Amino acid sequence: MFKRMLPLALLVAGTLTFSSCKKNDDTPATPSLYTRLGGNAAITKVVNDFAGNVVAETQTANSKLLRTFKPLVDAAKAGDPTRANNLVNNLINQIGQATGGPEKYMGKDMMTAHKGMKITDDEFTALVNELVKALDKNSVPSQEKTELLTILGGLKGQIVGQ
Amino acid sequence: MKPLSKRIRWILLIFLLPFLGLVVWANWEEPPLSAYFPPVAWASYQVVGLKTADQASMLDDRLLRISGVHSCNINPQNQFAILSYNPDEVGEDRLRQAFTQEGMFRLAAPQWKTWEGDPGPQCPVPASYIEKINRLKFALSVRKFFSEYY
Repeated sequence: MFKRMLPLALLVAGTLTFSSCKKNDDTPATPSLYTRLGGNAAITKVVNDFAGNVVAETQTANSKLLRTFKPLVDAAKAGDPTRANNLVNNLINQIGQATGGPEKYMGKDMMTAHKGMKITDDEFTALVNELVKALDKNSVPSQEKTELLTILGGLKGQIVGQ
Repeated sequence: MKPLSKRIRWILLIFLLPFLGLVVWANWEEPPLSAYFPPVAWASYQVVGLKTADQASMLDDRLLRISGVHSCNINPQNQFAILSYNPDEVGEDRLRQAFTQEGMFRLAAPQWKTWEGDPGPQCPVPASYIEKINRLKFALSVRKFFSEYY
């Protein structure tokens, strides 16, 4: 009987031995992209800069964004900040949520929001360029910038060509 | 007595029920973070006399140092400047002064370019209506009192 019990005892002992080799719980978890970007204040600053860049781009010669942002430009021309603020707030909530923050995006999904606008690749690229300018102006580190652009770039299929 | 109390009951139902419905709607979900912060105002100008990138950079630095200014974009090529700011913290006069204080530049109303072609589908509801509905929702929200951002 002892001989029969021995393999079982060895198996149990081995299991207990190896299961006690666990990771050191003291290693810190990687902070979320939201934290690394600087939280709500930093994202708000970038998005405000981005919105300003977009409106400024519409006023340049050969603007690629004037067509799609006509309502925003018309509202700015009339001195009504509501549209710009709605866009900014939705973007802050969307970026905050996508990067692990407490914000919650409550706007339409990207496909519904851009349906019928027939946004082209050029227009999307021009928009991303304005975002990159805002990120550079706020000295967002390269890694965080790449991660954010990768997340937002994933939405391209839902925005372009709808 | 009876007809009067019945009338009062009906009046309460007609007014109280919709109000309770509004309160439930306002508290159905957590208010967005953006609701806790003051709305942002935007100002845009034609900066007459602005020619070089250095001048634009100088104005940019000066404006961003003013408390209450969130963002600033100044383009020397078309002399267009747009900035966002908190109107409770800084007035537009102070912003205008930042441009004109040395007498190098003069501010004019911007000459907006507009798109004459078909811009695509438009939301039929004016943006200001949606903003008012969101403000009403936030005002009726009880959840905001338990938020760290309130």
